[in-house]
Amino acid sequence: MPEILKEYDLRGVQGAEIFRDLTPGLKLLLDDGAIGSIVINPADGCYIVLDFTDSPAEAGRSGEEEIVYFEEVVGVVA
Amino acid sequence: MDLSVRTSKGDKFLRSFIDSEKGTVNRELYINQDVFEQEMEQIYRRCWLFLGHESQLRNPGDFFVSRMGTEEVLVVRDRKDQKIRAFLNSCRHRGEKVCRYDQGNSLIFTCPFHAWTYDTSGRLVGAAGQNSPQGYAGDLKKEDWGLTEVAQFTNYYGTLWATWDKDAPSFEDYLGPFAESVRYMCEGSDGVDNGLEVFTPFQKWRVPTNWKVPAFTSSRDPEHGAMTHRSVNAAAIGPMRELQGGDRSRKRQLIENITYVCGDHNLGHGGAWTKYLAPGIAEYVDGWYEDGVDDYFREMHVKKMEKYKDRIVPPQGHDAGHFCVFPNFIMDAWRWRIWHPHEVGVVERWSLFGVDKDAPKHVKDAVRHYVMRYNGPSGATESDDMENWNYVYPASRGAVAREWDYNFANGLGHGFQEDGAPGALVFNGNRSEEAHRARFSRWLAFMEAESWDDLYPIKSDANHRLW
Amino acid sequence: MTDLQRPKSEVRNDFLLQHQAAQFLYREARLLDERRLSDWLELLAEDLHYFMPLRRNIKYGDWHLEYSDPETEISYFDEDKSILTGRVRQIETGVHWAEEPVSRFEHIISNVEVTDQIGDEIYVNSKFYTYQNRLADEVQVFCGRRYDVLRRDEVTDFKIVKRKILIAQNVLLAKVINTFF
Ligand code: FES
Ligand SMILES: [Fe+2]
Repeated sequence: MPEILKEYDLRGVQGAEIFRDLTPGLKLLLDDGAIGSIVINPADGCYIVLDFTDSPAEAGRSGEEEIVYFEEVVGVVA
Repeated sequence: MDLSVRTSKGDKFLRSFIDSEKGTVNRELYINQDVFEQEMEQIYRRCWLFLGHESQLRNPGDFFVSRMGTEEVLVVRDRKDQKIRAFLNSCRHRGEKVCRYDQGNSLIFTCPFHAWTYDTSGRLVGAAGQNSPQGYAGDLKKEDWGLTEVAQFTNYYGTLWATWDKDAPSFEDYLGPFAESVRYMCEGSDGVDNGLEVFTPFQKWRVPTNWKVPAFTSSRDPEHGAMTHRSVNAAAIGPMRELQGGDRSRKRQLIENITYVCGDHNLGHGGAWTKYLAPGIAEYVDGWYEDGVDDYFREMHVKKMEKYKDRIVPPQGHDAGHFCVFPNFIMDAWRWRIWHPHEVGVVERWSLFGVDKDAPKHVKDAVRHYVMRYNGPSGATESDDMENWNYVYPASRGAVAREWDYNFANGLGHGFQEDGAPGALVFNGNRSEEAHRARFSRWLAFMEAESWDDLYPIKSDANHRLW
Repeated sequence: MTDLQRPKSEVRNDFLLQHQAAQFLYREARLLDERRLSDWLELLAEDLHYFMPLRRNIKYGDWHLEYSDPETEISYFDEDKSILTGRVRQIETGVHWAEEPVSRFEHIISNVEVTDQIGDEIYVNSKFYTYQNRLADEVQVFCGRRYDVLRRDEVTDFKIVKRKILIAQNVLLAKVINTFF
């Protein structure tokens, strides 16, 4: 289990703003175990575009850019 | 099909409200709820409608919200293929208004209700619970749930148009003899096609009246000018800022011409029509108060004269414009007016103004300041139109008032068609109401038609002329 | 806009200045309501910029997109004293139908705040609530804020040099604007 970075508290009171301001390149852990890195953040506070090139194959997302809903994001990982 | 509508005195055939012998239209057509709802079905779902201008969407992801009748549409330039598309601004999940900003640049359009999100080509690309085993569990077929796209869309020399009807004719066929005029009005002042951009934002305002009052009969309504606008010269708001107002007719008088009011009874378009008898464009006539503006336009004008030196300009040439594209769009040179119905007694007006894309700032500024003081709810000229158009409505609604007919008989019986001209293009005196009558010929045809198969030009031998 | 910051104390504590500014704005409103439009014009500086932008629906934070830009975009008013004088002349013809018969206007001015003073010019914010009643039963309400620059004047106390009018509407719900704010 990769370590979740505490400085990005996506579930706290500031969660929507922190999510909105996440910068490209950061890696996000999803609730199904996949890890993707941010390609673009539309900055709407709700969705984010991730690249899953390095994600475990069993997550079924490998190699694809996908738009991900904030509820599926567990946290930012190193 | 004979269409009937519900009135306070029982059902009546639509046709019975128009007396083509007398040249009258019964007021019921302007105040009746049932008529309004059928208009939205029969006319606004079928006609080509104006959405905006390509200069509003310069970059991938740029969008703006427009209207088609009572409904909002989202017009967006896709990030991938860069194409412009238009969609109903209503979420496919449960109908929430998806885009709630007037304009901007976006990667996706996310519905604020349950987070269905669409990309700039209208595809559904995400939804709350899309991957949840407890929810959709992967069953949501995103490819079936994209935003509702218009059936046909066109970019006509920079102006954007759409229709909800896949069976509608091409936009150029829909315009018929007015196509050349629309093209001409989108030229830059140097005569280059698609030479304009529009100023933003648009002035938008509500007028409590039936949409047909301004949309059908403001273009062209020659007899309203002197009376409705009796006060405007005092304001001195023309380009010259002279007390007596500017005079743009000076320009076109330099080429021999005959002026008509013209209505196409098959297509419904019509308004001012100047028939030029000689090719070419006259010398530039100075007309601006601000320094250097005439210098710019004079220089551009030389290029335009070159383009047209052996050509007859279209009937709206030399600023001689002012005509309606059926049902609700009025072009008056580079001043474009669009009337969006909201309710039977409420219409929303948008104003757009074109200016040469590449004009220097001092020219754009002069044009911009002129249109602001002339047009719109704070414009010295148009405010008087709003007053008259407004009070037509409450004064026509009562049980007694609605029994009476409006008079559209100015010039009735004096119209003529040119030998061999196609369609039902009728010319009449330049102070007649021929264009208004043409609108009603087309209006009734739409209201009674089962589909485009009954309508000109799909039905090529149709004759919709009522009077 | 510096309206969340306190004005400097010599302005904030200058009761006389605050009073003079408010009295001037109330008097201006009264002239409009009493239909003394030519007198109202006397309160405008020759170099006046009178500006009322359109307002967009924007995303939180996109503040720069909200108001139309007086340099490049379309507004309701973006003009000088000579155009306003033309508008007054138009109303005074008695055949300007949008204001004939004349409306009943009540310009309510409040929240007057002097925020700065530079030389002989003062910066004044205020709010307006303009009620219009016309013919039998037509009612329009215009509500918003103003940011003014006023210049000291011997005769009229102040002249209006700059006025920015922010109306709290996107689609204008009135069919015309036939008064001044
Ligand atoms: S209505 Fe749009 S997501 Fe439910
Ligand atoms: Fe008019």
